[in-house]
Amino acid sequence: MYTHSTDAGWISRTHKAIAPYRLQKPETVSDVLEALSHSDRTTVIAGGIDLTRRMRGGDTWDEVIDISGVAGLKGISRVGGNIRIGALATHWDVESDPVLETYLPDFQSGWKTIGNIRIRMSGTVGGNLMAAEPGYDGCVLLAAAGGSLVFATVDGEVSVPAAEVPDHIPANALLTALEIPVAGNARLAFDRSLKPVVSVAVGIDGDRATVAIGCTFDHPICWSGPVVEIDTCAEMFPDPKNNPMGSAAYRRRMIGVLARRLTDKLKAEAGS
Amino acid sequence: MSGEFVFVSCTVNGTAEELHVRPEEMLIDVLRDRLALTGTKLSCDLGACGACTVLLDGKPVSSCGTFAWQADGSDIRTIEGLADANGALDPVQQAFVDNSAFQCGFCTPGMIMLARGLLDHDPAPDKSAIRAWMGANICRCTGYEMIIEAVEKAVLLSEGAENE
Repeated sequence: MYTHSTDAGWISRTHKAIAPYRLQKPETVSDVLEALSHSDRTTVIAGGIDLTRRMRGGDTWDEVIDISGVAGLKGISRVGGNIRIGALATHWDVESDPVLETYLPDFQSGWKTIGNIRIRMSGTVGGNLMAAEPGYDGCVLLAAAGGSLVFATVDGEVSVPAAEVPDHIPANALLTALEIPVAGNARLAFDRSLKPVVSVAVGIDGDRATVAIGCTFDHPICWSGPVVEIDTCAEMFPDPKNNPMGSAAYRRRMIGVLARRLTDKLKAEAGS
Repeated sequence: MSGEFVFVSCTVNGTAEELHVRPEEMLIDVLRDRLALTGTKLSCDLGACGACTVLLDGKPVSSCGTFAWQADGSDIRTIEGLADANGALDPVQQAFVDNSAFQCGFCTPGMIMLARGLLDHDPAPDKSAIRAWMGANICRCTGYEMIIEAVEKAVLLSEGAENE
């Protein structure tokens, strides 16, 4: 939460403090890329859940590009061995989509826990991912599912594994879609009951596990290895945040507990 | 820098409205300050509490976290638009009255609009669905139970109205 200091103490800023900006409404991806290339004082908005929060908190932009009307960025479909989710799909679209229910029910079930109904009906998956907030868990789920982010750039399409976000996001790029592989026996489980201290997603495909951690570091971090090593996976992560909300030791302990618990749950379901 | 005005055309509680807004102007300010629809309340100003909830094309949204231009082309419903022309309350409003589902009342317009959005989406939600949906908004007075019961009552009132 953005706050500022006053004589009365630390308080949040009002929306009336949002700085003026110019609004652009391009209709194509190439127009968006062109607009983004003009200045680093330009950003995009779709649902607006995160951007309005940031701007209320003091972020300023010369130009805001409304991409909600850009063609081709919505829809959820199976493309080859992947499910492709348009970046403008809302959380509600994800939780109610029959394609996801058929091919990636675990992913859909996990995504249903993100946000409240006001956020889920307006907020987009793209906004959740590009906000790159430690407590926004879209990237955690996507990483555990082995998914990627697909960007449009002036040089063509670039795919970035979710586990490499935000470090490898290309400059002046527009997120256009998410891609998640459909693997026959792959399973996914997610627990954000300890948010904002720690959230954990575990993906298991055969004897391999991927554990993705949210809230605990500056951005989601993954570990991948044999399922039999899940008990020690917590030791493989760097030092967690250490603050009054949760000590580093507690967070690391909970990573291990939740990873173990989720793995046991998936194993039990596979055996039943 | 200064933003240019944006033309917004929308319907508010069934009335067509055309406005020029600044890009940074929020929907709640247009509703309250320009259209004098002060039933919509500003509370946390963070998009967290839901007191400012209105329905935008049937979707519950925080009007304090929605730019006014985002409502262009939309159908907006606020608490003032629920009762009919004769003053008969919407079933959700009536159920909130019948169940005393408020104390200070500041969250009530947002709660009612949130509940209206639920019943428009699912006319017969079960208790767990009601709890999950209504969990989006915050009430500091009631402890929530009477609000949940009011939404259950609204379901019954709506079913009764349909059967009449």
